[in-house]
Amino acid sequence: MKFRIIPIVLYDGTTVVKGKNFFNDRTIGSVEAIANLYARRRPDEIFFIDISATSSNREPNFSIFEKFAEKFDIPFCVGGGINSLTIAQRCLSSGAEKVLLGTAALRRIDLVSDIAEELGSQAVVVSVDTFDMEGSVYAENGRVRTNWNIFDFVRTLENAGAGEILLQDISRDGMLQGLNTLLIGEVLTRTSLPVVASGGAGSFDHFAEAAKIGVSGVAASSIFQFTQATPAQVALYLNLEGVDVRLPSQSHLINKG
Amino acid sequence: MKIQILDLKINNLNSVAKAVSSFGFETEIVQFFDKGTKRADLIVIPGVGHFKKASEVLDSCRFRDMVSEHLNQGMAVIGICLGMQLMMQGSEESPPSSGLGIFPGRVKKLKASDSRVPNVGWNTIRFDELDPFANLVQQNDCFYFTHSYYTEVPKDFIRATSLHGKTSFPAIIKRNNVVGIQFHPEKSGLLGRQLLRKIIVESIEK
Repeated sequence: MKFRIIPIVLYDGTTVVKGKNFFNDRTIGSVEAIANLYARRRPDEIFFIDISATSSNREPNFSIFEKFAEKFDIPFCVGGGINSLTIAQRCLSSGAEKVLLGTAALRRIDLVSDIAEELGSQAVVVSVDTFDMEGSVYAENGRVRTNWNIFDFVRTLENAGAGEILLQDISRDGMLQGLNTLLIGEVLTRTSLPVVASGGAGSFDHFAEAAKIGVSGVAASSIFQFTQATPAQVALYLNLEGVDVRLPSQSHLINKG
Repeated sequence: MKIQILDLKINNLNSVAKAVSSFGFETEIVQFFDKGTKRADLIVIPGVGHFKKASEVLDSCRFRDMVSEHLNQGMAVIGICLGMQLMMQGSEESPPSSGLGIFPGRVKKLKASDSRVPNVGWNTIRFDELDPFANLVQQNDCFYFTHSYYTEVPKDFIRATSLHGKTSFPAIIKRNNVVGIQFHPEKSGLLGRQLLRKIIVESIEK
């Protein structure tokens, strides 16, 4: 399977934002403008996370998902405020390929199995948020430390039927200083689920380092919002580094219509 | 040309419907099969979801009857992802549930010893060298897969394969004018859309 380059779009209920260490969010622009940008930049997938849905106790904005589905002919995953099977179903019928669970999975692990049994494991991604090698899983956007040990939680998720892990190191979020390859490596040896890592990607080499230890993809926001780097450029660089990535197509399917 | 898309209730058919109608075909979403259901040139069975739930919907919405009447008329069917797996006799995902049995064989779980499961992301496919599409799809062309199960069909039905780790599995299967596609052509960018269009045109013309 090709290594995936995945922009994360964080939505605060009004606009797209990006902060550091899950705090101090800066406004980036409108959802539509950001979506238009990524529709041109050839990512492998998009993660759209509504970071205020759970804290303000509101439903996901399904109309945004429908607009995404209009704009993108690639898969996208949606997260934030998904706390029931019904809401997960609505996300998928609005055009998302999969849902991302965070706090809701920590509060009620059964939700993972409920959704997996109805929509299939491949539709359930769970966000595992932690600080460096501290060992605990955090809920509510990194604000609340839970009693879950990260490795126990990952094992439990796999048994519950989750289909993918989004591993986020909050201490590296927005810092552009590199991913936590030590943590990623530790998690990879403990699960057979695909793992997408996030937090710290700031250069093309950071993607390469993570890819080489076997992570399925790297999700990133700041590098694509605050620097000139695009997903397509990252792919070309990784290809030269020997990483198996999806490259721009020269296909006869397109050339010959 | 008229294309019907089955609503299996558990999955997102909008992206399939959008892709199909963008090709200029008349598209109808079918909720339930009854006397009022008109005939079409092609039925598309889309799908993400669990085999058990989908199998139940095939019963409750009378889609089994619809597909078999349609096939008896010599019409074409295309199944995508779970829709492809439903064309088999059954699945390890839910051993008691029955599929449509269009292809001999069953759906099996991918092995974690081969690579990570689910098999998620972009990968290349390889057509049989005698296939009419063999020269159309290039070695580097990627399509989006997301599945934990694969179809175990006799070799004669396999048009194209992909890899899970080093293990080959069917990416496209075919029997007369029935085609199953394991990946999501509707989510595989322009390439995927074009391939889906070609498969639709090919299956309707026969």
